Amino acid sequence: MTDIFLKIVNMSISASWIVLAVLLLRLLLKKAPKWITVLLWGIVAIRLICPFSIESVMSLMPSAETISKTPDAPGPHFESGVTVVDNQVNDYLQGYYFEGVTKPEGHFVDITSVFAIVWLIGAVALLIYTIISYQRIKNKIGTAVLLRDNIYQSETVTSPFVLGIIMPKIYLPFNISEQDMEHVIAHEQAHISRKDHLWKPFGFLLLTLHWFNPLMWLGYALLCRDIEIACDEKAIKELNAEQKADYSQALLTCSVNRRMISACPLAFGEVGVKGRVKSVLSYKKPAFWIILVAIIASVMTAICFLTNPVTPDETESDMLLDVLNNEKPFINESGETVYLKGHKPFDLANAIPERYALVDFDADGEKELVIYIKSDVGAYTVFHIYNDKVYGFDFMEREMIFLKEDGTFVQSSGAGVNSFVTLRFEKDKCNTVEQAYLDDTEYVYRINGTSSTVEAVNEYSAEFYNKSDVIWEMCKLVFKLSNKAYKNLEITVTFDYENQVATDLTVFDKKTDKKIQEIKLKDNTIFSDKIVYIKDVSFDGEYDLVIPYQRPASGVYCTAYVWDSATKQFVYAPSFEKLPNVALDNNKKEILSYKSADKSTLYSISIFNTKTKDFEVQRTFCYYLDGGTMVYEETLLKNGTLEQIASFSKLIEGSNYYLMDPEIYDYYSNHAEWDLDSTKWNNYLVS
Amino acid sequence: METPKIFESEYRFCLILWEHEPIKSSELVKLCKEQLGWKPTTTYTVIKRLSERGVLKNENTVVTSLVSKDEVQAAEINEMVEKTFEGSLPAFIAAFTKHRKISEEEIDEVQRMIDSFRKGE
Repeated sequence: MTDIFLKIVNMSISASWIVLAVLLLRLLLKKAPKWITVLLWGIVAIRLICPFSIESVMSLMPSAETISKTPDAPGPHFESGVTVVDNQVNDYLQGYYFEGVTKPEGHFVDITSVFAIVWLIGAVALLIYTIISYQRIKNKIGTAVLLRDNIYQSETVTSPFVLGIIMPKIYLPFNISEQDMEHVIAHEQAHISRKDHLWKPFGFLLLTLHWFNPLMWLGYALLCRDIEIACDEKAIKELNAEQKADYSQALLTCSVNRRMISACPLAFGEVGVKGRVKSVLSYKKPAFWIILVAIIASVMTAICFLTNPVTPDETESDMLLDVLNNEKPFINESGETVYLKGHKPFDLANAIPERYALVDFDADGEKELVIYIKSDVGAYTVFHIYNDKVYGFDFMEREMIFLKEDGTFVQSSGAGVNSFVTLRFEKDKCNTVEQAYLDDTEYVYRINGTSSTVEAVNEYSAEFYNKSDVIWEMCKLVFKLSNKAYKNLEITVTFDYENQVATDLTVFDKKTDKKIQEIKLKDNTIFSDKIVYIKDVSFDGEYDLVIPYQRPASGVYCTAYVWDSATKQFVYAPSFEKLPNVALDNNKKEILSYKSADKSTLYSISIFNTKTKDFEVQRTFCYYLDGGTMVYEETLLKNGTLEQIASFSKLIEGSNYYLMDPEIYDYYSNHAEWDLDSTKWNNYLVS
Repeated sequence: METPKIFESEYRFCLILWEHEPIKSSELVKLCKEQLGWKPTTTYTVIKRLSERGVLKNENTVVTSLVSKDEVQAAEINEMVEKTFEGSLPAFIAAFTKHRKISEEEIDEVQRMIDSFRKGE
């Protein structure tokens, strides 16, 4: 139901643009027959009920779908086509929904559901009002007396009208003169022949669906007015001047409630009648060219507003680049749908995309994407689109050497054994096609699969190496984060691929396109596939940056850059990297560090000291083997130093290694839950 | 006894009654359908209403009038409970005029417009 509501809201917004355009046109087309204006309202109606549209370059609609759900962002996305408005609205929405980042995903749906329910209640209420009004009228005119044909008279009618959808009937008051009656009937018959008795209720029905849009009420009111004038025009078309005067007189007579006037001469009123009498008395058959211009203007309006702006299709390159930027997943060789970030070809640890190129491997006019993934050994993954899905194919480093611009490359299966190959894709599979083969150890030479001479192959080889190498672009490793000061931060990591270290971090504010900070990482910061953890390690409610620095046998050591709300920068906290194997205890808001060597285990608990802006160990507990006994020691931070508060030893019995309170032991041995890699605390932010 | 008041539409009905009475109610229904265009339910409702008001009596499905043409008085619509829907025509009705209260000045103004138009032709 929320989807239906959103569709209706979008249709309402689209139609609102047309209403504004029609308002403008009405002024310009004042001299034109009013039935053309009524047609313009018809265009509005089409937009209100038809959720689909064809695209055309002539479209003047600012946007096809103004309010949509974005899959990743927590809040709705607003796109009216007016950039200034869009930016403001989306900022507000993002800010409002920033809190929603920590709440379950359904938050956006909840708000819209509330609106949808309100809309439904409003629409149903209006519908009920309509039905009740209709019934009451039907009851009142039940005793109307037949005059002739489809014309009735009743004492309950003061103002003539047409009622009935299938068999429309005209209802007149009793006390009406013959002359007036003639004109009134002409007008009502005009209504019937123009099918107004269908359009007005239909329009009102549309209004009940779009009741929340004030422009629609305005449009409907104007539509009603235009319909009346159109009927006047039709009724008086063939009348001479005197008859026109009589018609006006009838208009006046019927709009006056004599009883009202005599009872209360100071009643205030509405100028509808005056306007219509004026139009009737001054009516001149419009010139042909005016009608022509009006029709052309209406047709143009229809094309401009009934069609949607052309949205460029997503090209294949766009899809591939989305995969590169981790915005789109692909299907790997095991058939799993994964993102580039989690992709480990040949199970390589620390797989980081180093560089990429767009190459047309199979000469079909469409380029494929090839990414070189750096690790202890390297690998390549080639991405190809089939059936609107992206498939990834892995190659070991030696299976793709000397990649050339035209997509040919060398595969080496040993010293002196080289294949010159290219790729062919068959649906969702990838095949290497041998162009030439050279085996200097077994003296096998082939060109295009068939046996050949060493000269021919050498000639091919020479030509091959002369070809231009493919031009690589370096990959960017980008991390996104949002905090209270900046909603759209991007952290880019700069690598030194040669020495396999990460050298710098650049902090960028995407919203203002400004560089906030450049962080020079510690020398020899390891090349890790996680490179930056975005976690709140100071437990102040703002994300910080945690970067694995070294990985000796005792575990992982990370550097921490803590967000300082005052200076709006990430500040290096020197003591963090002394803590091995850091885990975040979000229950107690502490940093747990543990180090297990072969004969000892040390746990330390630290917190971030806001005065020193650094981490401080609060207490430790450790136990180690000393000969045949297990020693347990506990320290606590007192007066600036860690003082020992407990210590005891005991002979080892079996495998009973823990000497501290088993409950505490259980709690801390669950540190795997809070590890930096643990997904348990994803999107967790201390509030 | 005060003469009962009847509305214009009821008057038309009575005209038929006075011409054909005494008449079986089913016959009356047929005549009302032909001459007034009334549905049978409407006719029966009116018979009941008028009988309550003492205008006619319906005994054993035979209807006879209790008042004569001269005795009957036209009723003003606002004397009865039912009110007309002046100025409150719902927006979906195709109407001749938007019936709202109009000021005397405006009536005069519009009348003047029409009159001067006639003179000018």
